[in-house]
Amino acid sequence: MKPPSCRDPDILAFLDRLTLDLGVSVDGSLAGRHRSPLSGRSLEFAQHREYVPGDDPRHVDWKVYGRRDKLFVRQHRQETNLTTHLLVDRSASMDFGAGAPYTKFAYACALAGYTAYLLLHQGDAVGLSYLDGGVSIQYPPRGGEDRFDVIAGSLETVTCAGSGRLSSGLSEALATMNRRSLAVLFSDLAENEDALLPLLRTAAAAGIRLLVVQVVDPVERDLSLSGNRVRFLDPEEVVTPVTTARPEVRDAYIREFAAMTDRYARELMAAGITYLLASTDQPIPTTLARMTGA
Amino acid sequence: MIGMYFHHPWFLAALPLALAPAVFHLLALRRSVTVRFAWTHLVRRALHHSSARRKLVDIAVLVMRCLLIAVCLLYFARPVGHVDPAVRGRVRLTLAVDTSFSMRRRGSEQPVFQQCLERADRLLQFLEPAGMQVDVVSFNTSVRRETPGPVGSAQARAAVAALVPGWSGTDLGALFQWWVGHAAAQDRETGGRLHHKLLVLTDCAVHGIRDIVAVSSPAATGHQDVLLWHPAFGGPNGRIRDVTFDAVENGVVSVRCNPADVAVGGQALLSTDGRVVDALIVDGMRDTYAFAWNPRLPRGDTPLEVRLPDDILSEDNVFRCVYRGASRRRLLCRIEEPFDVRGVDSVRFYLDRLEGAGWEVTWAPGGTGPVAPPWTLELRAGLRAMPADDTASGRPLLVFPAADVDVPSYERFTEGVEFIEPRAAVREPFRLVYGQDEAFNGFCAQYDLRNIEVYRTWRMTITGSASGWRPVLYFNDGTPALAVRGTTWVSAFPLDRTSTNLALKPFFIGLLGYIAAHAAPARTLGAYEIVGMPVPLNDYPRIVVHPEGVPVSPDTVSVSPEGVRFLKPGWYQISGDGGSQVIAVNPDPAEGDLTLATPEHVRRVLRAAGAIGSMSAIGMEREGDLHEAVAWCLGREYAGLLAMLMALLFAVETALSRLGGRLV
Repeated sequence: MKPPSCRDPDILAFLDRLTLDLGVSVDGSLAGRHRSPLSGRSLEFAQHREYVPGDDPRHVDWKVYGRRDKLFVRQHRQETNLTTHLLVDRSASMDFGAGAPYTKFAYACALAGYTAYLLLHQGDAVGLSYLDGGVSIQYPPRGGEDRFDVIAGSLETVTCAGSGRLSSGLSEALATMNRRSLAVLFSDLAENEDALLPLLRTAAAAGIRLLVVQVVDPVERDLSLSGNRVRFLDPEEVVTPVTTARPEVRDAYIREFAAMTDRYARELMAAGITYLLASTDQPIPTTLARMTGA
Repeated sequence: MIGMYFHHPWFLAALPLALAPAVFHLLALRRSVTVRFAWTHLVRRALHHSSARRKLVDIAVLVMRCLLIAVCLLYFARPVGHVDPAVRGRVRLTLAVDTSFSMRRRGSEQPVFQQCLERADRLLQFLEPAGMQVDVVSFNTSVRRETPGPVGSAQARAAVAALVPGWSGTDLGALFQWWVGHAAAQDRETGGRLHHKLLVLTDCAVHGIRDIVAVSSPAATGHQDVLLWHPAFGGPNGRIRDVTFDAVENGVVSVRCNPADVAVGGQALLSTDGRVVDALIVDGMRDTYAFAWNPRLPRGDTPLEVRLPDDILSEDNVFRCVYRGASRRRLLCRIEEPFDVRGVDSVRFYLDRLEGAGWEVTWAPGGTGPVAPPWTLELRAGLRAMPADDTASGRPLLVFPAADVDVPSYERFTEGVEFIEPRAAVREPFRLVYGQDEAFNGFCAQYDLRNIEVYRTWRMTITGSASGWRPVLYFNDGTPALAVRGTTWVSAFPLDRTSTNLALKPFFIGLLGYIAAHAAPARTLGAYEIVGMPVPLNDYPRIVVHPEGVPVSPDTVSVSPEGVRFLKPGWYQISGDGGSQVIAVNPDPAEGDLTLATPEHVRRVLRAAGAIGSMSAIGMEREGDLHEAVAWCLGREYAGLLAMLMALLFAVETALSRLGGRLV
């Protein structure tokens, strides 16, 4: 199965009309589209502040002085660039594609590629890390015209050969990130929620802005496997429970799965983390549009 | 104690197949699809909710399916429960096979009798493993035991295989009477209550049931059951009856028949030598129908057949008889007319017309001298004297004396009759009055004799009743006008045109034909003999199959002092010094009456015979009928019970499957 390309001209043209705006200020070293918590020289007014000695007299708002007979200085919001870390889950569970044309990993790579294009197009710096038992391949965040080719080339050639737990790789990746940077995680989150959720909550509390895109296959959503008898093999823990795809089992599974995604959505939102459930049978532009809020 | 017997025991060998669902289930476990799945822990959690109930349903479905297959196999094995040997010994089974003629009729695939024999043979095969003893009898109008007593199946099968259909009628009433008496005798011998069973293989034709008036045999004390096992029944069987021949004008022979049992619209064919010469459609408007046939060259015996093409019986739809042509219609004429009259006023002219009606007329040369035989009838008209050498020939003779007859010349053969010349001639013509001969009167009824003018020239007196003369026509003053004795007919009026105009009427030719037919030594045309009825042999010791001339075989005829009985339909010729006659032999016309008897009718006759117990009837067409008969003989069949059990298991299995059991 050929993985989806992240250089589709139609999708790229579609992305030219979108903006990934997280709505919060971020730190950055380069001027960009994102607001900075620091006052700067941008055109966007932030607030007035009473003049204190040492302030640059060029910032005094003389019109206010005329009205209030006090010196105030104008402070402008500084626009900075965004440092984004794209984290792609490369664990074995991502290599699953029964109900859609692509595996979850291929779908996640395509999403990551187009996200990189979108951010780079906005002038942001984009880095890429693959997560499995650790952080296997890491491209530091950088901007520039040629950065997309580097990231896209990597995403198009990488294989899903990882092993180990997502939580350990994610923990390692988050530890290297600066506060106020953005981390976009593409993963199926196929691990115990109790292990992943504290990790993500801690990162959010540390000031890392997180966008979690949970990539699932349609079969995983509704257990619509063909055949009456199926042996489910856990790809990571290597246990082999045997069961049958009975209607009542299927119904119970659908309920369990919905409960799992609901919990992720509820608790991540509470922690200020943006959560998005993406199914591999959905068109990639649709998912991208949901990511950008378009 | 109930034992079990199976019609098709080989199905039991397939009973291990009942484990097939379990085997399939285990194989399916091995053939399961393996999927690497990220959410196995969720699946495990989902399984945890319903595993206990699911396992119960699974096992229940598995058991239902195994049971369903097992019961299905048992159903096809057709188990029959029968009593154990100790109890079975009290059952007396009698197998009665109908060997009447109607059993010979065509069936859908094979003759009905053959079908019955085949079914009886299979029945006995089924009874063999159960060790059932069978008494075999055959019956038609009487009952004949084919086995010395109750025998095993093998011996019974041999007895059944040796049966052949007969030619006589059937009488279920006689069978029932015999069986009741036989059962009573068995009860007396054993001193206990036996269970008597009578299985009758018969076509149940209504003709075979005679109402029983009185029962002389003592009633049996044991229980008695009767099962009528009959082949598929066809519609009414048509028969042609009462075939007669009439010679009419212009050489045309009229063959009259009574197709009383032929359905309206049915076609009957008259054929000779395999060639259809006439056909008629029965319209239901008349009792008697007539074929018209012109023999053209009436020489020798001509076999005739009246056939119903679509008859049910294969062999009784043909009425065979023989039409005798020239040998029966030769007429020797000796006529002395008072005047040498020629033309239409001449008797000779009208006698000439007989040739056109198929008669061969020989004119005696010069009125005297012998004429070589044979001839059917010698006509002497207007002869004044009878030559002495012709008076004792014994040939059929019809005499019309002349007005001035030389009476003494006739006295040699007219002994017992006096001819007296009236003293005063009556100038008024007499009318003719019929006598007591019904056959002759029936013949005359089709003509109007009132227009015949007869002048009496003599008074004929029959002098003694022992003389054998029988008057068939009288003058209206009560004196005989025409009398017959044996083959000699004499009249009291001349055949002179001046004394009577009889010769100028069409009646005259018919009268000559009637006299010729009754005066001939051979049998009447259209002779019809019934199989089994004795025909007196008299002086006809030689019997051959006609027309081949092959001497008959012993199985064809039965010769006894009473005569000969013909056992098969066909043509026979018996001949001897007295001549010969051809006999057409057909079966009992009653056998053609194939209306199916109602069970109520049979039951009534059975009760009249003194039987107590049940009576039932089944067909013979379906395979299930055979099993039903076997079950009736042996005991109870469990097919119905198993069918209900199958339906129940199927319903439970379906319900459980819908409940969640989807094993395979």
